[in-house]
Amino acid sequence: MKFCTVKQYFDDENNNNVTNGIATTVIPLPNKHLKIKANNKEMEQYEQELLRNVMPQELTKLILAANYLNFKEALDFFCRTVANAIQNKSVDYVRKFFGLESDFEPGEEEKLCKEFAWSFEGVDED
Amino acid sequence: MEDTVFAKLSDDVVLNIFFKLEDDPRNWARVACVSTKFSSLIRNVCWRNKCTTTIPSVVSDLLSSATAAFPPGGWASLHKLAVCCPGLLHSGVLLENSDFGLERELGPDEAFRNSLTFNNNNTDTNTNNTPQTHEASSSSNSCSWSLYDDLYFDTVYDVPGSTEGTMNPVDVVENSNSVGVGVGVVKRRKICRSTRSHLASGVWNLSREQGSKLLARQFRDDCLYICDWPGCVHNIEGKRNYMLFRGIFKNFKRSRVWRTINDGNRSRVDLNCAFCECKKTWDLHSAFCLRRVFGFHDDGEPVVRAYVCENGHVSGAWTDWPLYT
Repeated sequence: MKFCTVKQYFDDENNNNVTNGIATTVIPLPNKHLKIKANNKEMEQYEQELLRNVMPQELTKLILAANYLNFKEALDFFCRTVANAIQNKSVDYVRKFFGLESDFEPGEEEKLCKEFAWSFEGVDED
Repeated sequence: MEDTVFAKLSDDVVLNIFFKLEDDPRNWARVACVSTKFSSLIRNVCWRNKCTTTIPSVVSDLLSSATAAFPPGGWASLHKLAVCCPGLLHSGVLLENSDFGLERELGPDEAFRNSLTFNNNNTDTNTNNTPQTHEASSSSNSCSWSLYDDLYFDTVYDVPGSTEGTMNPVDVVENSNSVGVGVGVVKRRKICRSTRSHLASGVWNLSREQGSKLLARQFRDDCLYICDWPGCVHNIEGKRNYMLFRGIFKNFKRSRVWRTINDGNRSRVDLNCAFCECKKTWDLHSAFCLRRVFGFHDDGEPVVRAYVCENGHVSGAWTDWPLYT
């Protein structure tokens, strides 16, 4: 069953892993899946609309929620969305997206840029 | 704070995202530059996994003889070898080589070498003024004139004045060879791309069969994996087609090629490996490791050349006449 964790969630009053806002987004997903399962395109549109205005940090929370709820399809979908958002983007863009700072040693990053110079061609503009 | 939320993502979730990017090898390479954690995940999980699934026989051969749990040069090197063409520079095409192998047969001409050293000292002072010419400068150090210079000037003269967008000025300086800056923006980008290593065209696979065709008969017991034929094809204007290839020796330090190079005390060329950090490589052609039957073209250029580094990575080029001659 997809929702073994959901029961636990509802039982557990003091749950920090899934805020209410996120739950309202994630939990209706499987019903929606079933309703329009036959029509993949409609599902795609629904998903695109759902995520159009979602900021990266929201997306991260959605991933955490789906992971906690053990909801594989939603997790897969959110991860795919992140992947689509960062594919073919520059290193700086990916850093900003995840809210990360570079933690390399001073000379290390330059070495990496040399090592992977071949991958910096054809990158989308930030 | 975003990063605290992100930090909660477990490694397997992060890898779930990464594996959705595996179709284009450039994605993983860029992600590996983001942070130390990403770099570690990409190297130790993603690239290892990719190599193990796409070239399993190569991986098992390399690991069976390795002292560590990864192949020589690491998983990053092996993966790059599988998907990247070394480019004209690292396959030695830009080195001055058109002497019918006379230097190989008769030994070096000391007077000529001394005059080269004098010229290089002059050009070196110029290269110091340009930042980051890490790859370009290694080819200019080996001879006073090289095919690289010819390519550069040809491109600058031939291009009519480009209007197709602007190149990042940092890129222009990086790839200049200290002899002035031209305006051939689009053409230069094309040449520079094929000079440095880049994603190879064609299937990304390594096979032993190709390698055995390359080596001279006495090395038939050595195991050399080479990419599928014809590899990445480059054409230099006014010259021939170059089919660039790359490969790796199984257990290089135990191979007969290595014994030949080492025992013969062969000197290395100032040509760094495209796939690992080795700064110098050995010329397999002048060490008589390649089949002699390949021979030379009329202008003295060898039909095939190959360079090997200490980790056993091989970069090289076959040549062919263009069809219209």
